[in-house]
Amino acid sequence: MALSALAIGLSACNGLPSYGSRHPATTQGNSMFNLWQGSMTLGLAIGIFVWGLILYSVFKFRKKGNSIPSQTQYHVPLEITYTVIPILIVIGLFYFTIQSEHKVDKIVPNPAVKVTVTAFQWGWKFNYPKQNITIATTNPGSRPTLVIPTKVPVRINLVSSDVIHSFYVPKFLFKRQAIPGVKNTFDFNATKPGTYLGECSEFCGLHHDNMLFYVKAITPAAFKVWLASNHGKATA
Amino acid sequence: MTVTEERSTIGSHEPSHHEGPTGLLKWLTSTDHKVIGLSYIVTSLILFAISGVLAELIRTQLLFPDNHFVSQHFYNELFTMHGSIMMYLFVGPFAFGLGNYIVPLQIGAPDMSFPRLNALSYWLYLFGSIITVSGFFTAGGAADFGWYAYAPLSNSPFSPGMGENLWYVGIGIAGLGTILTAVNFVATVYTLRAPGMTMWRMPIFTWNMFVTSILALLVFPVLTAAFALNLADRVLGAHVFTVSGGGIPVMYQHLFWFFGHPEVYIAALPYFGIVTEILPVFSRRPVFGYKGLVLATLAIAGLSMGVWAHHMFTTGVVLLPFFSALSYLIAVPTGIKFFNWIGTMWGGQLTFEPPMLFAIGFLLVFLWGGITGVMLASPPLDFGTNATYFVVSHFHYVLIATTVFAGFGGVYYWYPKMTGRFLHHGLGKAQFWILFIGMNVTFLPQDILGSMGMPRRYAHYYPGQHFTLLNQISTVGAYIISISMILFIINFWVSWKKPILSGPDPWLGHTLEWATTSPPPPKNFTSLPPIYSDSPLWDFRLKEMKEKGEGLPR
Repeated sequence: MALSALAIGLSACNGLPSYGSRHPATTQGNSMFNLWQGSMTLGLAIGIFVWGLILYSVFKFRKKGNSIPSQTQYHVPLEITYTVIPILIVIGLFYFTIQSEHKVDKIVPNPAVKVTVTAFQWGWKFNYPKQNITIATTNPGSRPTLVIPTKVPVRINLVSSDVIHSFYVPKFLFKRQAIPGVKNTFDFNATKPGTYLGECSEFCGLHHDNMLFYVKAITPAAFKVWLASNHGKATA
Repeated sequence: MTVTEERSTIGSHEPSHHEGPTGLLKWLTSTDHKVIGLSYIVTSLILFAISGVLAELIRTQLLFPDNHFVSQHFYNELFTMHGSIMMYLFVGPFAFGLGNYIVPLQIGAPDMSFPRLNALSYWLYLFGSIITVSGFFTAGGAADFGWYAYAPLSNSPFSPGMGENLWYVGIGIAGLGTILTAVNFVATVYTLRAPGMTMWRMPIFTWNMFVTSILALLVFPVLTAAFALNLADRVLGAHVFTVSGGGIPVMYQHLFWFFGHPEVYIAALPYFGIVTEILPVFSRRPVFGYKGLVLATLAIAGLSMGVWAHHMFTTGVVLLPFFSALSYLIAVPTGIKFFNWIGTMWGGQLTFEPPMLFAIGFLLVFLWGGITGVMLASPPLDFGTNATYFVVSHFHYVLIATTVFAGFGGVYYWYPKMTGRFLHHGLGKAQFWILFIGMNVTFLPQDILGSMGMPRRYAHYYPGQHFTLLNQISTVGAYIISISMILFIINFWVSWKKPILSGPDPWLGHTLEWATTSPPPPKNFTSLPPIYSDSPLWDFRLKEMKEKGEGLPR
């Protein structure tokens, strides 16, 4: 079962493997996913080169005879080369990181829907202030569902009412801490309808691993209907 | 025949050799850096074993989905204490133990600068450790808020109990020991170097212990202060980190990681040093690019003070590009070191006794920890992987490479110096291979688990998440690692019962610790070879070999 998941995970998407990552369900996630694929591929290429050099040295230079090996300690051009090349590589990685970061952290002026997410020991409260809808964890272990429209930007205002938690949706490749005294704001655009598991990913005490929720993305038309039928409701 | 042997004869006639107490009383009262060094090493290895058992319990809990091998509460204690013992009570003290024994020898000094302070440091460490671990014997159990104890979870309303208070006090006391021993290392390196031993001729291990000590002096007081403030919140009703009293919880994260990231290098630089001692000796070559390597170490130390907030990318309250750029940059000096290490082996005459195997194992394992670390320097990638098993795998690749591969490499390398005996080669090689296999079987699956989205610090996962098989492979790997550790204990026992004598310089060492007897006499040296480079003893050997025209021995 896990193997099949792995096989799905490793299947090619844009030519590069996913390296086990989930395929993202948001436009922001797509940007991070491409960066992940690129960085992992580059990292593995560098790794294979350096592992190769190490293993080559180990096999090539094992002791033969008793001649005293060269005692050369410095080779300045070589030392400059192996300093400059890594600097160029990290400058390149930094450039792509900043590109992606601008997309991921972009806050639009007029999101289609705003939700205030309150994390608490041990559950979540999703409040749609405009529509006066509240969905929350009621009994320990129940999993509330955050309902959102696809395609359009969704604004999350994230707060905590006790300790530090973290709002994490693996399918979005995204998490943000919920910190007492801090209001964190982020947007995302779900690409397709679906229900995705969400988790608390900052250790928050005894039932940390039971602080789960769902994100249900539905079409904007269906979302309108859902809003209308739930207006003013506080449900679990 | 050689200078060393002449000296060892003289050494054995040292009148002070048989003075003073022996046995337990010697251990209790000694201010000799060698006795204190061994005390540190043995104590830290015992704590390493305890913490290892906790890790095996964690892996056993994760063997099946929705498993109930341990309770949720006890699971939280397990990973808190596993991380705390390893990070606060093992990685640093183990390095300071090896440093205590070796640094004075490498610079030709008779002892540390402040021998009594050195003894005090050890006793603070020992009692701090006992206090920390004693939380397990309180009614509420040991601390269970994670090894970085984020406020306000760590405050008394959320984490009441004596185990937590013992945790703060114990680690605070052990941390004071670390601060004092760091003072001692800096003073020793500045003031007790033998004539001719300039800073630019110091062995890399000594250099790295020196830089590590400076880092410890910069950041351990910050940790102590953060813990003191948190303890004030807990027991005095202060509100430094609580919103209700006007405090700022996120401030604790800043203070903690301002300590925490340099701490990673405190846990790495000494072990880089060990590897840089072993590779030249078993390659019969000097360290390649010595000066560049030292500059890279200094660059790492400097940069490590400015990267702490990459642990806080997901808080939403730090300047992402700044901390990302510095975190990327710190990969450069670390990358340089790899080329120094490869360049040292390049064109050498390599042999593969256990210390060398562990050093090569370090290179192979640490590289993967480094590559995954560079990925975590990117905020968008960190948003996905932070607090998942991807990070768990990353830092275990780093820390097992340094403290376990390089650390055991150092034990196999210097054991003959400390005891005059070898550890058994065959058992050592077996330990290496089993560790190497077990390590990768444990932590490579965790990379994939993290990429799939399995959060760390979860006691349960569920069948539908497809985490089962990878977790089971990982747990089997953890059991394999424990076999390699049992082999080390067997090796220690066998080598103790059937001694294989090593003589003063069994590896043809490059540095001064090999120019005295094994174990060295009190005050260490009766005479020293002339020091013209970073490998004075090797210079002497080379000259001797060239004069005889016989090439390398054996």
